[in-house]
Amino acid sequence: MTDYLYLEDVTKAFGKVVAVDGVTLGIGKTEFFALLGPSGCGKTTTLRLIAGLEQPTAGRIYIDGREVTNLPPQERDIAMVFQDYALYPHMTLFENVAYPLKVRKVPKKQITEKVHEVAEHLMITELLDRLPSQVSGGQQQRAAVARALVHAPKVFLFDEPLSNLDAKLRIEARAFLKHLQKEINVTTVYVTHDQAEAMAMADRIGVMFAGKVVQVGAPLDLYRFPQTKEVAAFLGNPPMNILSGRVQPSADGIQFVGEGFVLPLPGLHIPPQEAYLGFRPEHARIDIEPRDCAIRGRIYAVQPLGSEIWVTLQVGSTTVTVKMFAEEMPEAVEEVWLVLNPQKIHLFDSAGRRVPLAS
Amino acid sequence: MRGLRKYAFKFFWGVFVLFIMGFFLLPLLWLVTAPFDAKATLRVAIPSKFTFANFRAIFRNTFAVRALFLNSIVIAGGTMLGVTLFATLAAYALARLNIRGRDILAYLLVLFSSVVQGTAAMVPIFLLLFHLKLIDTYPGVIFVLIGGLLPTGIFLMRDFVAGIPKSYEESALVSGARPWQVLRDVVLPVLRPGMMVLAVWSFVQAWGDFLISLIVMRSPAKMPAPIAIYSFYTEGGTPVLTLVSAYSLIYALPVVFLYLFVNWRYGFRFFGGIKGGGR
Repeated sequence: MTDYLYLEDVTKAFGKVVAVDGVTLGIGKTEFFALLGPSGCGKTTTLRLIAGLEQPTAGRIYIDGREVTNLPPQERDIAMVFQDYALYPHMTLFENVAYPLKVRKVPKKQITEKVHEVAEHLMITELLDRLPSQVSGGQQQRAAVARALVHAPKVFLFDEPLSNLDAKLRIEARAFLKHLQKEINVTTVYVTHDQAEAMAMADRIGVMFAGKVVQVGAPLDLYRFPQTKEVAAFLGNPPMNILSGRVQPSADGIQFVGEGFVLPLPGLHIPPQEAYLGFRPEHARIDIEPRDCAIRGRIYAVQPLGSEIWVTLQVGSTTVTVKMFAEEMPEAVEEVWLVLNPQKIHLFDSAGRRVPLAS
Repeated sequence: MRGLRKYAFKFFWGVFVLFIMGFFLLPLLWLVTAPFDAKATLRVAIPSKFTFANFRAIFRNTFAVRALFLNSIVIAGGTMLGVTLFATLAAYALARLNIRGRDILAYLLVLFSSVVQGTAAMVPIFLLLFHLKLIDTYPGVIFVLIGGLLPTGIFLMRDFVAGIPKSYEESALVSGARPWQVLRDVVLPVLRPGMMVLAVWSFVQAWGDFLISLIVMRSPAKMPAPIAIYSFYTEGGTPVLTLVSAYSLIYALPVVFLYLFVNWRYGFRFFGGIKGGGR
């Protein structure tokens, strides 16, 4: 157990609802770790368990080698940025940022120095004597980060801190927070439902579904080798396309039989069963001529986004989306052929688990 | 034709509004003119003989002065402190703790207090206080008034507490504050505007109480102003309008000052406008 922050088989139930179900997670010192999942998957509860705002039903939590499972939040030496920032409305930004130092009985002079140092870092110096209601959302967010930063915590916890910002500010704040985290080098757990945010900022991501951590890994590993169909469909924008069908034995391995197409998968041997074929929108292209193993589809919608175009096709009873460059776009046709890059497809078995392809 | 009808409607509407205004304003006007009139009647009139003699007469009546400046202040002040303190604590607990059926409890409180009050509870209250040996004491009156006002107070305050995000307290805890520091530094300041509203409301309620004091207090020296005002009636039971109006005016002033003070010092405003999504 060399991890700086370690969750050992942690479970949290609210009555009959199990919000966090046997989560074991190790997070390294100075790591930026994102907990990613849809709403209601238990990621915020996991964060609150680390903070001590909830008590686990079972399991243990360690920070820096010390068990903190039963310690109240104020004894864990952590800091947290809340989704609504939770800046105290009756205190100025200065008083807000100074509060963690004030309760630690730090001398006044030192408090002033430290607050100004942090405020300068976060570019809110000239706002320090204002009330939270007198500054903008982005500035409130930075003040909340400043307050979390000021007493040099062991672990930094973020609960969807960007979800109240508008799209443009959010992209800015992403880069800013990532840069800041690398600069101050504090172990960080960041909860979000936005896969782009997690991919962009985190060193490693833990993907949660229904109270369980399904997969942990570096952003690009998760993107390239999703271990389940759910993870595959959750990451990426637009997410991975999934076609359902069956695998059947063929002459030199197996073949995937989908709705109106057959895709040979030579060299693979798994028992015949229901299965899912996945491919990323950037790993397919559209052709107007029929080809071997191409899948027939009809154009459903075309979204020109500038540098790239998203083309949504109707394939059998489902739709798939293909990302392509503007110049590759064929002329106005309805019937097209979808050509997959055979090196870049993903196969999931009937339980939704990844089947490694021969490479 | 249509235009004419519109104007006629506007005209009658205006007259109606004026009438309503007059209905509510005239008594107030009387209250500020009659005390300065040596020959006040029930009419509103500019004092024909302007005088302060009525006030001098009031201040010679030590019973009435004591009733207003000691008894009423003690009773209303005590009730105000009690209601504000207990309602805030109870409302905080009711809004924050997850007790099964807490909403039903809150509604029952209000329902019960509005059904069993005043006249209906007169005999039981008297008996209760008698056995507690609280008859003819300030605490006796104050306790009964607190008991009567608390349910509504808790109900008002509960909504106020419920509107305050829990994350304030949680963020203070995570920042390293002990529970009592969270209460002192975060919860109470954030609740203060609500507590001020509650304080003024309960003070006004107790200030105007007549029935409870009449039941509980026995000795004339402990009667509050609403009872003492009867000392300005003649033996035959008719009010001496000059004195009654002067006393009423003095009686009304503390409430006005309390309101102005709270409004100036704290303001009846709520800290709103911190944007933030729910979870």
